[in-house]
Amino acid sequence: MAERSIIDQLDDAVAAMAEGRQLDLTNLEPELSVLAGVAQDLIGLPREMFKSELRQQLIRRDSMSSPVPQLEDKFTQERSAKKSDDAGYVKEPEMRRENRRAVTPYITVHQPAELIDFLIHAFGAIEHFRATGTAGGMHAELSIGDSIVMIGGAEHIEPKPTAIHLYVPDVDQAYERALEAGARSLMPVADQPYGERSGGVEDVHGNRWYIATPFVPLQTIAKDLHTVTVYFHPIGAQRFIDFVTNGLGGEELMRHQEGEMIMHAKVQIGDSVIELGEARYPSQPLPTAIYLYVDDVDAMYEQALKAGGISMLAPTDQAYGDRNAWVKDPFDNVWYIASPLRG
Amino acid sequence: MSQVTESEERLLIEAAQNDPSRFAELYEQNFHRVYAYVARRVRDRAETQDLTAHVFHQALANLGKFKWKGSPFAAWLYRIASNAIADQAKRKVRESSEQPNTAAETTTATDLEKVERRARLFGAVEKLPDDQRRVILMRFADEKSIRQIADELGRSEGAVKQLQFRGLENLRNRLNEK
Repeated sequence: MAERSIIDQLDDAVAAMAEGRQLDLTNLEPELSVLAGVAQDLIGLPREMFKSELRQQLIRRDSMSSPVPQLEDKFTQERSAKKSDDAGYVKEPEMRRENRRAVTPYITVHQPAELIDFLIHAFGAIEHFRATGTAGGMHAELSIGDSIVMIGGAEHIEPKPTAIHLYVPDVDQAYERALEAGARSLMPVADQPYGERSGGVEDVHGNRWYIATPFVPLQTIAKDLHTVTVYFHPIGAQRFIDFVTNGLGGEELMRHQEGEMIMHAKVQIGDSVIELGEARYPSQPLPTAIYLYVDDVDAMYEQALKAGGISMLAPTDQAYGDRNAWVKDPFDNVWYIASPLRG
Repeated sequence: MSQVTESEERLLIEAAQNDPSRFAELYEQNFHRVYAYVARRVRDRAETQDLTAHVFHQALANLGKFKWKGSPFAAWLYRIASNAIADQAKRKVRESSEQPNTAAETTTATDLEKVERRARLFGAVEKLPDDQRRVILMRFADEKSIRQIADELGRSEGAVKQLQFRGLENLRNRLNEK
């Protein structure tokens, strides 16, 4: 049998260390022994994302003068302090318009009623409102956990499937229920290096649900996120971040880059956060639509156009109680910019 | 992690005391040291991350109280880390019947040398050529197998093993430069 190369032998040693086996390095060839020693010291190497997120937290904390976070698991704390609903979520969202968050995903599909059934079955969504929308299709509003999702569409309306990062109380159960309800698996549930147990499914309408339950304190992975976070996959992530910061008043919270490529980033818009990563797969970029509450629709509309947005509707008072402007960004996402009408 | 002289470090500390947004520079200088210090005593990754985060939050909150007495800033961070690790251990004992590992509480000069060496190693990973750095991070930080890395990068397992080997060789050479 041919002797294994030093490259293979070194990998055997690394694999053994990764499994927690103790190796006697003195038994190895001198060259191999030195390299295996380096590898041994690398076991437990910190993750780049942890380092960059902690840096962002420190910088943000300084600017906000918030108290020192404690070591307890905030997720557990929140969950034990508040009563869960039937689906296991801890907070009911406030449906009143003036209390909505800045960013709400607006998912458009050919068969919105079926999508609503799917969300109720798979993720314990609660339907609050269903009516005919301005384009003649359905308009519905559901809550999942602490967040609102808007659903719209009809056979004659072009669908806009969306990618969502969704926190659920039990990711294994949600994943199974989603498959039962007809979704296909994108990624089986597994513990992830960034502190979540997560999996991915695509529903029959083409929406992608990155479902997750955190297993380390949210302090280190997701303190800014709500139950539902829209995940963008633009072609040109840097330019997309530029548009959101210049055109929509966003503020970049963190990024994880490999070389020039932005693998993952978070941007705060008002009281909400969006996530994004450079488009890397054939199913992407997956442009979507967002209902965006702001203080001043007219000013934000002008700002978005200056940053490269295209007007689809100038600011207009709508019968449903919002002043609304529609802007398409250079990445084909549509932003329904809105403020509640007074009185 | 680039090394700074004593006077440069002193200037960085004073700058951060006057303007906390400059704390990021102290963080970059000391992140790997604190992480390596904590990881030496705490085996679990999530716990290591939490304690490291705690140390830097505490340091930022108490930076105004830090007085330069000639010892490096890292020594102050190590003390915060040591207290946090001890508190954590006590909390665990209270919550379970687990016995505290008192042997782990003492830190010798040799321990600190090992921590510094490991911190330099972690820092050296950031300076590797892109393809080697990516493989080393996926293998040791993300704890992925050669096959998973090969699938994700679209390369053969042999090519990934080769990059791992070159990366480790490079790291050894960089450590020996010091």
